Amino acid sequence: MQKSQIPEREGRETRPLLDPVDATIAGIIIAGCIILYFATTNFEEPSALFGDNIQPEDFPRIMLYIISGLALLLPFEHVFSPDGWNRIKEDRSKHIPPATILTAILLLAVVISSPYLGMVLTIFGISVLMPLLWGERRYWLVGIFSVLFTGAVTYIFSVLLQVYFEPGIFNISLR
Amino acid sequence: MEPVITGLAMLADPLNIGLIIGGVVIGVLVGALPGLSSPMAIALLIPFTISLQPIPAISMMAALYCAGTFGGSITAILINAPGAPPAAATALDGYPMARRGEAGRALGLAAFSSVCGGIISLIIFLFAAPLLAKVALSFTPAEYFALAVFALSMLASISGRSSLRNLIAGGFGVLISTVGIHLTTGVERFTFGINELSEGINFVPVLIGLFAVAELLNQSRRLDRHYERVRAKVMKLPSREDLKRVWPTILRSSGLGTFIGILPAEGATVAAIMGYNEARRWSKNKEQFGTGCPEGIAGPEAANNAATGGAMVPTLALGIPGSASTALILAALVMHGLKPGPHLLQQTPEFIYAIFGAMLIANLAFMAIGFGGAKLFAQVTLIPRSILWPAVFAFSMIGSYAAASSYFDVWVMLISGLVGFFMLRNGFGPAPLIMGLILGKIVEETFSQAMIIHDNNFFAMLERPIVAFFFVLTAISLLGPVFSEARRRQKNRRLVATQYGE
Repeated sequence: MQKSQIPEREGRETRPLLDPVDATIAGIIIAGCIILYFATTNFEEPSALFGDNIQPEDFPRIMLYIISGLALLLPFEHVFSPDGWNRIKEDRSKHIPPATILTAILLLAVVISSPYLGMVLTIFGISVLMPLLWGERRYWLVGIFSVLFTGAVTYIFSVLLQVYFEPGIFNISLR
Repeated sequence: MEPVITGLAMLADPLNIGLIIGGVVIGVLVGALPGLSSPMAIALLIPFTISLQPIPAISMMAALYCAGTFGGSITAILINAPGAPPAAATALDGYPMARRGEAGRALGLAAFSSVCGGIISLIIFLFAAPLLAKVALSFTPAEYFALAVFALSMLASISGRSSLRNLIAGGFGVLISTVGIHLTTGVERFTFGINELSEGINFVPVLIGLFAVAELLNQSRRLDRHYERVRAKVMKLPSREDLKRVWPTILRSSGLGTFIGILPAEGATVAAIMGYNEARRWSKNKEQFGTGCPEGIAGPEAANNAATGGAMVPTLALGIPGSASTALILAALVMHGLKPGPHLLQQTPEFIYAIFGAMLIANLAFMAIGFGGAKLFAQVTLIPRSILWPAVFAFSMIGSYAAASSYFDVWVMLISGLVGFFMLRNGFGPAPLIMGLILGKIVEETFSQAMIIHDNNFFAMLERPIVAFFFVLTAISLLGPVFSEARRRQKNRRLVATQYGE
């Protein structure tokens, strides 16, 4: 059956006035703003010479007021802008798959270990571990990619562009 | 005449030409790969251009920007997956045309329209930027402040799902720009005892995190996605009949795209959508749209590439970015020690001609590359995601680290990426945050200066006509989405009432 081009009657669908997810996001934003506001009260007092100027805390506070004010509208967005909100709802209702969580953990582990491993080993690690985590089972492809990619990237940046890479505990460097 | 010759001569160096061509190749590749975007590629490129002179570095990025917009249309046409958001409208008619066996014709129309749009907008850029800069020379900090606020307010109507969320993200961007030493008083703000923060948050890792790492995490949700590919033998130049049919659309979309590009914060995506809508509105064959209509390809393609030239006008003439990509180019200019704005154009007028030349070469080069290698570029979508994205992350790490050889920046990149992922998931786009981050310093600096000049009386600023004009525009841009929503509801109510015979 062909879908009707005529929109459905608005307001017939009963929705709560406050969207709980957006209310939580607004709560987090406002809480963050309150914490940052208190941080502005701890800014050092500038020299009396600058007494007539805009004070260092003034502008950040204006921004915190604006952000908090806008965040207060968030829980009601589904009422005044239903089209865009429905698409956001659709997006965030999708489950975060384990692959995403594992990828985030891997990225975290890579960043934590990089000062110890050095940049060359870190790049090699990324180019081996991430394809495997993302389901690549053509081991020959992963092997060729990791060796060639690490070699090429290290040569280009370390040797040609003279970027200093930490050699890490294994003291691996091309320079 | 001398600045024109000097500017163009700067590009004559084989290294510069090589960098521009390199930018075009990277741009087309990045544009063609779904998930990768021009802003992401520019963000990754910035740290590696530090060792270059400003003109070759900016030329390379400008070339990448133009080519990236076109590259997206290759995959939009061949696999119905726009490589970049500005090409989304191209897929509406490009893919159906390719499906009926005319992929070469669709690609040719897209390339030709893109180049025409790009060149027309560059000609406008060449005349508009110096004129705008001349006007801007008379601006006091109050006018600049009002202009920057207007640019931020335009985030309400930037492409995205929510004006409100765009404004919140932009506000956070401005707030992040306040981290570090306050320039007027020397007081440290939001540093929380971390030494690395006293000079402020380096925006390169933030850009990389928001554009590359957040998208990487987003892509990890789509590992099982496969595309149906349409075979393209070769890209064909538009026939005389096609040309006759699409010329008015190209001209109209080029003007529209350039205008939208000039507006602060609006970019190629909005231009493409409007280009498509206008092409449809003016067409005698409205019913053919969506089935592979040539105007449906020419309209968005001319508009989205025209927006690139348009967006460079406020970026170079005023120091106010016209889009997310030009915000990154602006950041790159600052990293190279230049202060974008009217004074830059007054002191080094050759700069504008060099950028014009670079973008002109880029437009012609991507046409040539497109005709010569569209088939090859379409093959890049065969690169497995499981290989492509680890490479992107490796570049993200090196890019964040290389700017200051600091692991702190790598952490900033990762945290920005994780935050960016949750932002994206909840409708907050990275582009508004970046615009806020880039404009934040201008807003605060000009606000402080304007308040000193006007004895800390904000309302005294409004007595200046240009300031008042920009604030009126700000109010219009903030209220625009509210009115359009009200209009939409009224229209819906009328339709429903008609249906129910009320």
